[in-house]
Amino acid sequence: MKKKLTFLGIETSCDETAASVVQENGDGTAKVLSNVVSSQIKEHEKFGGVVPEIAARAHVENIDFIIQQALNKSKKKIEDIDGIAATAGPGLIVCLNVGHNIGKSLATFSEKPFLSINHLEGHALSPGIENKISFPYLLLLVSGGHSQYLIVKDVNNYKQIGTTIDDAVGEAFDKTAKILGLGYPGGPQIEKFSKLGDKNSYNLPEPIINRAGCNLSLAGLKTAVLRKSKELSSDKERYNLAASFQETINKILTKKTKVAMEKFREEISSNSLRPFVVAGGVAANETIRKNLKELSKKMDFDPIFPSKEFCGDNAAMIAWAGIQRYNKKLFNIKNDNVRSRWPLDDNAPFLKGPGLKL
Amino acid sequence: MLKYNLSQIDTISKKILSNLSSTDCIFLFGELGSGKTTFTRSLINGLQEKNKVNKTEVLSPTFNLLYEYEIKSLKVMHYDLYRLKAIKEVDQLGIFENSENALTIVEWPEKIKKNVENRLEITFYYETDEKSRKLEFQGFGKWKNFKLNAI
Repeated sequence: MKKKLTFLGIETSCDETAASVVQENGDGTAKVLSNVVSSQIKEHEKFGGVVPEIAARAHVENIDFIIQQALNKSKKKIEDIDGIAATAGPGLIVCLNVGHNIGKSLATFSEKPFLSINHLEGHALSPGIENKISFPYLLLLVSGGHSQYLIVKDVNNYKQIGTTIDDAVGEAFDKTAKILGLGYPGGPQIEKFSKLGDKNSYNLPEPIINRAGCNLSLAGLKTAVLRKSKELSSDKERYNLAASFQETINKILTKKTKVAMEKFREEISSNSLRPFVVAGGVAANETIRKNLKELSKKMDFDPIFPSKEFCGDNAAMIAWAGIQRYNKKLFNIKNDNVRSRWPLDDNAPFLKGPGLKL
Repeated sequence: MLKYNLSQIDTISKKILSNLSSTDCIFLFGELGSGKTTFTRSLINGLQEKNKVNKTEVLSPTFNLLYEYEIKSLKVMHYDLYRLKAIKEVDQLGIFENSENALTIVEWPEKIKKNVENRLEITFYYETDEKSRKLEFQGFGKWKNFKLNAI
């Protein structure tokens, strides 16, 4: 019987310092033995009491402790680990380097294989941690930094069928919440205050909703919210604007997802029930979830929302992507340096931004 | 002040592009949604076109803080410091550390305290017409006498 691989994953692409130990189950899913994320560690537990901040230094100060925690919680020693996987992009170079270098060093002195992982591939394969899922499937990745539709054909085989051409969906939520003075993080706050408002009170733009395939554009919506916000005179109006914004995002995502589902069918030429995975921080938004679940039913897709701990930035998905790449002998040797931008599909057509015709 | 329609952004970025050298620095000021990223996209796509390389998407770097573009030997660093709260975070980001080899474009540069010698500051303003914006230029060093009053 084939040995069940156990990998250590390390993720430092942006704000979070994360480490995780993941063991494959042998049935295509995985057991997460530990999943440590810096922002979730209680202050008093933290080594040196470092407050997470957006900088490489926070990663440097946290990383030893986080890796140690991940190993301790998993009850594994570094000798029990079969390989180490670290995020190599896309992200902030100075931050990526911290996790990538420590992963490489650990792998070298413990004589384990080392794999450089694309953060987006981590998200793309993350549903497999909890679900027996077969390729191909449709993925909507919506977070603070990314918004794209991908056909996940296999490990290392992705087709990008749509992307934002300006702002990410999570970014639009955060900025709108800030404009409206509703606090951070934007998604949960907008959702909360939307319930106090009337979603039909403002007519906001839905940029490129009826053209440009399943590509998204949100910069114009953000600008419209800013303009309207200057006319607000009561809390009620603020909540109305928040509700209208949430409703507009719902409409855009529902329409674009429908287009993506049709494109998916064309691409794989099959009408059978296929999984539709929504990953990334925005997947936690209940209203978006509800709408996309209803749409999936109509379009013959099986909606899958990975658990919250695997939706945001985490290292379990990196370890899991490492295991799957290792099993297929895909080592990413050419990409052994960290990269700020690293699309999953290099052949995706170039899209012009707003102000230019699509 | 230069008033323009958003559809004219490529004409403006081309005029700036023709004066650009590989180590320049451009600071972009202005409110949310005033057109900073749109301008940067036009500039980077213009540089890609000029250097005959494939155009790429130019996304908002708000979350990532930085996106880097390699256009042949030219390196473009597109920063967005919107999310940063403290000046020390700017230092930790290592901004300008390799600026001798890079064209540096910074959105939300208010927190930068370092004095960059050759820099062009552009401030974006809203106009009542939602498709229009106004621009104001302020040049330092080699950009001191830069003017763009008409398109």
